[in-house]
Amino acid sequence: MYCITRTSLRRLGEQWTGVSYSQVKSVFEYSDVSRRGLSSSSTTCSDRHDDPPNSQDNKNQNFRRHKYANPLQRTIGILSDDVKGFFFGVQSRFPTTGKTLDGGDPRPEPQDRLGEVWPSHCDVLVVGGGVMGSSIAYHLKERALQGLNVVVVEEDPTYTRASTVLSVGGIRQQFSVPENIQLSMYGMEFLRKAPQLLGVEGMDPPDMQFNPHGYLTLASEAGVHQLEENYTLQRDLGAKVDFMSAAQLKDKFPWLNTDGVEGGVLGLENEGWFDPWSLLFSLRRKAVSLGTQYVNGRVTGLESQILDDAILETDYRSNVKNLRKAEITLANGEKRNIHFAILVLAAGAWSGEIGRLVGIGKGDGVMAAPIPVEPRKRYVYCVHAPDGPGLNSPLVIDPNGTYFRREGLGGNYLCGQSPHEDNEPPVDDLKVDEKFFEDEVWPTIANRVPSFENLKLHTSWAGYYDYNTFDQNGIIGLHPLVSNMFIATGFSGHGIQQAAGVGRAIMECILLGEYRTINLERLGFERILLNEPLYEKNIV
Amino acid sequence: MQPRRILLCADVRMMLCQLKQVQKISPNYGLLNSRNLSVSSTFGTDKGSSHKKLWYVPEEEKRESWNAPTESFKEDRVAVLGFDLAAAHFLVHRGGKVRFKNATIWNQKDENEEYELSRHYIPNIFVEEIDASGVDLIYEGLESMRNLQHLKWLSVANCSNIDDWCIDRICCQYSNSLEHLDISNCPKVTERGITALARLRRLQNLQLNGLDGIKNIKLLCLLLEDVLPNLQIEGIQYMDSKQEQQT
Repeated sequence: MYCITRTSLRRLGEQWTGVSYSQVKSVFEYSDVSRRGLSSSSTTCSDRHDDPPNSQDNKNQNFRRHKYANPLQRTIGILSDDVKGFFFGVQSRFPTTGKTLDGGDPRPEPQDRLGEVWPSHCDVLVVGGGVMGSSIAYHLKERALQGLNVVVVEEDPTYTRASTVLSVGGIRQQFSVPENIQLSMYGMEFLRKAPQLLGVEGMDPPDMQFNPHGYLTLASEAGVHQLEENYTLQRDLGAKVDFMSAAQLKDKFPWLNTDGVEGGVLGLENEGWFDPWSLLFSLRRKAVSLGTQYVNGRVTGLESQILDDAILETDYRSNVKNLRKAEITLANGEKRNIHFAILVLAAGAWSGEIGRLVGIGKGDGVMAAPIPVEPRKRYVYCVHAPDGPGLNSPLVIDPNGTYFRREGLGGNYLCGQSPHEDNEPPVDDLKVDEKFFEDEVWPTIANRVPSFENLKLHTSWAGYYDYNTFDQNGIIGLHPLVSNMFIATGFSGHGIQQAAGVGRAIMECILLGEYRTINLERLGFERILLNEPLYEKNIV
Repeated sequence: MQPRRILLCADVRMMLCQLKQVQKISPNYGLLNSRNLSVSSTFGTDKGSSHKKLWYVPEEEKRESWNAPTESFKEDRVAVLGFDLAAAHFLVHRGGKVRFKNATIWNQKDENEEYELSRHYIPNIFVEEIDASGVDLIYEGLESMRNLQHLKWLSVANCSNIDDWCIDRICCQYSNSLEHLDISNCPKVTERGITALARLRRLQNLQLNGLDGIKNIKLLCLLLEDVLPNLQIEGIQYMDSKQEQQT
């Protein structure tokens, strides 16, 4: 039965592709068949490292070969197993990547008990395992289950430099771009339902540690008009916010100094702050339990193929590219390859670099525009002020951009400020500049809350914003010339609250081909090519 | 002709609500309207070992998502009845008790599951006290009780689904009028929900029976008393530490 299937498939293959079996070395050599008729370009990684023979495997601590990694082999394996199962009642001996739904391996093969499977082929490769990448992987696997092989490449499993875990964790609906408001409303719903959605059997349900205290955005006389416009938009979209005059603010928050403040918008519901580490950890745990594989390595090469017959014509004639293979450098320096069908770029502050690997930013015409995301260092200071605002304090944003919020019950507060364009700190490391606190942050918060005069700097840390130099809002969607690369980065400080929504949007793009829940077309890469920035109208 | 038509619609709607409760046939759809974003559990939801169960047997855990559409805010109910009466109907129908301003009796269901509440809008009738302790409210249900400008007394004791987000909603909806709140025996409330209660400016009485397990609850009670001057908290023994501090 198996021989009949194999021969008939071979014959069918000959008919469809016009290539007879004898001409091709082996019909299972997927790469050979696919390269016929397609010209390959910029090979940034060589094939020497492709599927090294077994003798080399034993030298390095690593991965066993997956018998059915190659998609063509997988299909034939599935079909032959089905046929055998039907006739002979044989159990599927088809190993899955990742654990089964029960939490255990279906049939552990004895000789490969050491090491995990190296996913040499996958359907979706997500570059970056922070909250964006994990959210995308979770949404994809939750919808497609075993129908899609998802691999996430994360360079640092301890997340020491990731923007996610170093963030202050605020969530608000007080934006001026409608898509941002909708994304964070969805994020709020997701956080609330997280114990059901992200619960894994046998483990504690995730606790997002949400503090429902709201955001208070203050505006001086120059900015109060913009604040009112934003407030109207937020109310229209269903956010529960309230506009208050300076007198009402003074009445509600007696510790607030309302000099120079004309009005403010207070979030009444669904705003506050939560623990970003819990969100990341539970998304990752749930994605892994659904079958995602996290690979500990860095993407150092991306090979693409130019599709001769697909052309994008604007001022230049450019051929459409299709990414096929990624070269991953593992922690021990070893380089391995993963073939994929779709790439999702969620690498946070380092997305610009990954874009350059593909050639986005080096080239003519459309390819000359790089992904405008770069790391920008931001400081967060934890101060101790025993006479501070106390329990009834939201996250306050001063007109000049300084923010502070309560942390815990011991009189500690977190504060920070985005520095001016001219004195951006260097991004080589995550060292903190205390002088910035004394010169810029402390005077502002002491002016706004007089009881902050006598505070003590307790601790501080620094993290990177994945800063979008173009318009400081996220870039979400396909790249126009690279036909299978999705971008989800550039959130410039408000990524953590939009992670759930963006994950769902990318999942809908990949699986359904269109946005269904929230329409994020305006946040696509095209706006960078058309030079139409989508600015958040900041309040001064 | 007009009033009778409205009456009929309200009756039919009430009957439909009862029917839906009995049959439990409404799955949770993801809504596309930007005002009503909700997370939908898509088809391929991971069920773990429970995939052995038959798909059409409703599980205990699904109760929340089954009832979310029926308990969510119904615009047409409010259009007919006004906010206060709509909330009253919603609660009393599910086993709660409601007392209106200037009334001495509580409106509730009797043994025959019947209750007396007006079926059309009456102006100047305000809900002042709500006892929802038998209702097992969920987050969406709280939205059906919104815009009650004169609510002074609220009890959601023994409702196991009240969590921090529900406290957030309560604080948002009744921040200017609520004077008595009872959240006894709500196990999902954490210390962050208790800190959020500082937003209820008029709060005078807080019942926290059975919530001793919350982290730092005694410190929280002391802090809340600092923020809200008239507040009295019952159910937590924190006075001992306060007296210790004074001596």
